[in-house]
Amino acid sequence: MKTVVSVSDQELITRYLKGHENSLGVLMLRHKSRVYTTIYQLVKDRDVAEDIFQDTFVKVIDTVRSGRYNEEGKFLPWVLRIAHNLCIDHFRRGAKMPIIQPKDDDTDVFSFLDLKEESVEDRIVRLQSHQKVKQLIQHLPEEQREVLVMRIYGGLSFKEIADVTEVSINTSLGRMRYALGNLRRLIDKYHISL
Amino acid sequence: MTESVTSLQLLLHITNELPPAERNSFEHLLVSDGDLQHEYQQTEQLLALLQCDELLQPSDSTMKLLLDYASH
Repeated sequence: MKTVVSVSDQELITRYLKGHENSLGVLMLRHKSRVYTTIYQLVKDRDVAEDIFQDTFVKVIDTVRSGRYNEEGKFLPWVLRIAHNLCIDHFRRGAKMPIIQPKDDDTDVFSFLDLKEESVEDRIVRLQSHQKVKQLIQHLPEEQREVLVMRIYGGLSFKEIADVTEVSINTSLGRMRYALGNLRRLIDKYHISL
Repeated sequence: MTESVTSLQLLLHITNELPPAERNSFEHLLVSDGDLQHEYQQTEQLLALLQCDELLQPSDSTMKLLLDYASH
């Protein structure tokens, strides 16, 4: 007999549609951390992330329940696409975080930064440095931040990120490359030791 | 153009998404190209650092609400 852990996402959906009401709950519990973390890293507000997370899974439940789910095994990328679109809606409604629209991907990110400098010593400061690097993600242009967050926290492949963001795989790779390049430049500029 | 393609392959290689057919030739290139090696190490280090975070969790109340909604 298969354990719950070994049952695929698709099989859980099939079981749910056959009347096993808890199957969709198992699926949500399996992926909640990745989905929530991805949303939070995009909007950087716990309350907003909770709302978007809830709206995302209500859409998921409604779509699956109505028999309209047809992603053929790509459950997590589908959920993250829904979450991604809801995050975009949130920013379009005039969210707190500024939307940075670069002229091209190789943009100058220094112009809007306001980081405080700290002295660096031993492990505590190294951890602080690591945290600072992660905070730098929030200062990347939106498109670069998106691909970085979906890769690091959503665990999506670049092909899946390309599908979610509706660009080519080369574009999603290029944005990731520029995101990492900008992060390295910021790390050097602010003398953050890794 | 070649440099751009190589950097994209580098990302795919680090994340184990490079197609098998390209993997060998990229690894040969990596061995022979010092600049590419340097970029590879920097990229790998930065990705590893970014991936050390623990994943966050939604609140219990949100999960309860969703689980109830899913089961009714």
